[in-house]
Amino acid sequence: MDDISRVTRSKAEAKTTYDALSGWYDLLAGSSERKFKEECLRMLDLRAGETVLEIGFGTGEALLSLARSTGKQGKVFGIDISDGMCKRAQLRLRKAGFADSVELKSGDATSLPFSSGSMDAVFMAFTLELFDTPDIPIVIAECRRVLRRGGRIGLVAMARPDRAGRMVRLYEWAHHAFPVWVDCRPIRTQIFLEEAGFITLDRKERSMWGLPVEILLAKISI
Amino acid sequence: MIAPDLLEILRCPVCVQDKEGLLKLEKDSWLVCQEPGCGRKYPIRDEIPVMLVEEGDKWVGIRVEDLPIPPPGS
Repeated sequence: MDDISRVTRSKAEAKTTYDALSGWYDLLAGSSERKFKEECLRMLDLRAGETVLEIGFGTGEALLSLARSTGKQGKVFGIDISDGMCKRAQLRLRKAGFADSVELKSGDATSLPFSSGSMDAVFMAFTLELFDTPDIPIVIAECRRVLRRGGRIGLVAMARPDRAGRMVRLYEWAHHAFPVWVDCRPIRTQIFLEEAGFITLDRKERSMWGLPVEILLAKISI
Repeated sequence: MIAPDLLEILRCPVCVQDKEGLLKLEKDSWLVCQEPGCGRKYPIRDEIPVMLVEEGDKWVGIRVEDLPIPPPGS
């Protein structure tokens, strides 16, 4: 894992950056990320009545899909470190009539404010690669803690191949040069998950702007 | 307004690691950890609980009756 770039900006800087981006994020990245999120949600196959947590919900687009899938008997929780994103997502949920079925929290995924074994599923898209390398196993351990036995996780993240191509190298250069604004970088999500005791159920590799993207479905080994 | 069933699942992010970390809603605006010796208090701003550890830490020394309403930043 030594070839995975570190994240040098602080969490306080991340909060400030995403607060500033909250009004623009859908325009900048929303349409690029949407199809990968939708594919992961199909793999996660949420059922009516389930309880699900989205980590790093951003402007809240996927929260609507989660709420529709789990229905009135289900429950959706969302956590995001950015107050600006929380407000943006809250507005979106109110407009769509889902404010009562989705609970938003401002928080940090390295210490989730939820009881152990309380979630049927966790969904996280384009978020895990925002954490510095030593924090990634902590985030995954927290996901494992809040999932019930047999619970599943759906993840979308930029993927770091063993042999980085030109686009990956260019992106990693930009990450080093502009650590506050290009704050994510490609990682090896499947390895992190399996080291934490998750079993991979499905894995797809896609491409976004010439960069590999990994879509994973995994569950806790019982 | 915090949904009553929310407190069944929401916990103090520090104490839940090795204890129950139950929270109590105070003044409709604060979530106060019930673990002895914790004292963290998490503000609810614009209906969104702020469950960041550093936010809870800020209010450890403040008595529940002295917590500001609404929480600062609301």
